[in-house]
Amino acid sequence: MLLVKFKRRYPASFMAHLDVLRSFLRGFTRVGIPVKRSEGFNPHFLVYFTQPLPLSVESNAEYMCVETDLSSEEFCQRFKDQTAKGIEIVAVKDINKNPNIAGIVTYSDYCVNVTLSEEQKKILEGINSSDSVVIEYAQKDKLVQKEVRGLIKEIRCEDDGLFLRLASGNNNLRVDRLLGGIKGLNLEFNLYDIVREEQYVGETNLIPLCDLEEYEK
Amino acid sequence: MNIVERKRLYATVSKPARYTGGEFNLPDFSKSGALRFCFCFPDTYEIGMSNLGLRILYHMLNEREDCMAERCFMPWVDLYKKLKESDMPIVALESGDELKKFDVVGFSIQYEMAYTNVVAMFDLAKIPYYAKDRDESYPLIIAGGPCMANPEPFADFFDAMTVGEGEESMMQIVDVVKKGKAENWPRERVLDELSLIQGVIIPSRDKAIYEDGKVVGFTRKVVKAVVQDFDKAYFPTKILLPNTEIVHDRGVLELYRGCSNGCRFCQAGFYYRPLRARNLSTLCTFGEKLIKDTGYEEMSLSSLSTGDYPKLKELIEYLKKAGEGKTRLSLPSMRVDSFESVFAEEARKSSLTFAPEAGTDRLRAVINKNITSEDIEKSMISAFKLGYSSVKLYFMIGLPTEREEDLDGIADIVKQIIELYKVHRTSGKNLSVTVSTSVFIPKPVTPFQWEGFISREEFDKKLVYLREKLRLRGVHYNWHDYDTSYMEAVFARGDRNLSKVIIDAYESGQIFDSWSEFFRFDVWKASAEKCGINLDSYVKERKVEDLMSFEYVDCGINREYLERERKLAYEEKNTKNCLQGCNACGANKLGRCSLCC
Repeated sequence: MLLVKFKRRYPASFMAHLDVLRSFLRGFTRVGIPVKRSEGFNPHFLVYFTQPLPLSVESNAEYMCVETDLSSEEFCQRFKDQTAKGIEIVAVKDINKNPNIAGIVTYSDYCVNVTLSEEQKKILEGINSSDSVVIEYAQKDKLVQKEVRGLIKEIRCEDDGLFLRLASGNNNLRVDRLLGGIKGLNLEFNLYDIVREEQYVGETNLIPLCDLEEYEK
Repeated sequence: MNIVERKRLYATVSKPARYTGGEFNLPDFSKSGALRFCFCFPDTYEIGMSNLGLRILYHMLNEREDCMAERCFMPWVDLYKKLKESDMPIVALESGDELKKFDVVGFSIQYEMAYTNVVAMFDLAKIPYYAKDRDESYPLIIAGGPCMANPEPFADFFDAMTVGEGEESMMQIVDVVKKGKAENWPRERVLDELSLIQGVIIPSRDKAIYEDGKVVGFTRKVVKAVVQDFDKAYFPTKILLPNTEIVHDRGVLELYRGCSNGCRFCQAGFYYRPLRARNLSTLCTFGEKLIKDTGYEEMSLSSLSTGDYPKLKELIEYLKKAGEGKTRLSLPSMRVDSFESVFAEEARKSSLTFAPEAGTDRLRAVINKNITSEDIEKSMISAFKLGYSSVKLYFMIGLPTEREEDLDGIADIVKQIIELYKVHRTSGKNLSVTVSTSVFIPKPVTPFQWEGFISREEFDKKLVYLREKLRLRGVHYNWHDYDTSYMEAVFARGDRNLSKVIIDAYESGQIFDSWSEFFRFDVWKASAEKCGINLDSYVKERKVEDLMSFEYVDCGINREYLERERKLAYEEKNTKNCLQGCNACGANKLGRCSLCC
């Protein structure tokens, strides 16, 4: 089995998740990467992803697992320049068993390209030392309130924008939901200005998903 | 438009991957000094990208060192509104440049109801609608596609139009424009040179001559362009892979052009003649390459009547082997009598689609659909034995000489199918029969080009009758509505007076008329009235001896042949399939007609 890390930038960031999957599968067919299939009535390729980002959010750290007997070197050699524009393979690693990447990811890093006022900086950085953050967002035409402090690891205001480390995976906090839901923040930002920088496993000692073997030790 | 502007614009519209480009297999766009061509398709990305003609021409032009061809599709309604509101122009997918920056802008016009979208794209590009209102700073704006069988309703919008197969004329057009650009020719000189190319119409010069409102002749005849050696004709296999699912998201292998059946209502069957096929070995090579170059999991074997291809069985066997069992093959356009049990046996037993078109053997003789009730019965029995449990049937209403017994015939076929299923079924599922009817539209280049279009009263009566007759268990009936068919009939034999109706309908808010949710007949009616046009006059029966304004377009079929076929139709006599011997329709004067491979 292979663990593949890839970038998904514009214009691929505007592709729907299923289309990204289809695009990879067609690439695998073209260059002859033998991907195993499920044995059900409608066999599908055994390829697994972490939780997909909202349309137009970009990423430098997307992951997928590909069930194949091919080695990582062989994969890299064959699967060269086979992706739609904006998708770029960053690293490929051999792994022994299916790690269920969608389930084990705990945190993700994001950078948001946005200009912040002093006031906004104060509110955002204040979160790090506060006990409670309640956000409000629309869900199925209904406004819901949610306590999300536990889902925020770190927020940092930098010269060129905003850095956030948020819970990801099964217990996920969307960046846009957080930034749009903090009362009094009034921050205008675009989804396409958000970039996911890394995805991690572990709770206290965070290890990037691409270094999975260290975590398993 | 730069990338930031594009991101901002596309972030809030549905399916933005339609506009952002970056598909796999994109050609090289770094050729400096190359002629810039933009293909415009007046429907959505999903539909345009499925069009084989566009695929062929796009890649063909881009293989030239001296030409770069881009694409521009009609934006969906949400983006259309945004562009209008913010007064932004539409841009080409690849470069993000405005259409005005190109040397040539070429529209592919596939069906009549796309005409408002053509005008909409002119509007969004900030290009004046009428060719006469544009000065030489605008690109040369041309059109092509099957609607060229009657280019009259939109002729005034274009500087030039191409009738027939673009593989031939497009390369020569690019040559002329390139030379004209290098030597700084005035537009009129460019048009002079273009008019020498086979298949090129210059609408400002080529037209009908009228006397007292009647067509008495033509300035000249324009003969359709035809690929002479179809086996060697360009065919791209490294095709663009769309980043969002399109309507026909699969590889397409074109087996042959033209059709030997001669169904008298069918425009494509006559328009695409002469009959020319690719050799089996050529198709095997292309098919295998197509799988390798795209990774598509499905490939469609396309032509007007795929079952007529003499070596279909061998081709299917070869491609199955080449696809290592992973590539599904689909066979559109199979005639009832050519149903290949070999193929059906292994295919997924979803549903079978047949198009008897008419309910009785008599009416099928009128339209020259050479299949009998017996053929249908035989095919159904073999299908049911193989495990099929779902059947789709297509019929037309409003055909010439249609009577009540022909409608009864439709119901009889359905009832017979139900009975056959009881006896021959092997599937455990209940039988499902879907009957669809469309409305017969008299089209140019067919023996029925002079027929009248069914009146609304008669249509309503027949519909009520048929609905009652088809109230059967497991039978689902749906029908094509009258109003869109009526407008299609208006345009099918329309003349240049209709261009102002198209513009008025567009300016009254009509776009995407081929989408039933956007078509509004009352708007069209009001526009026609405002322009002083009587729409009914376009759909009524014509006299055979009267010339129609589009008859300067010579698609190869002799007028005498069409007249003879019409006579045979009224005598309820069939004409044999061309493969059994030439019927002398005249198309072979444009190229050798054969289905050898």
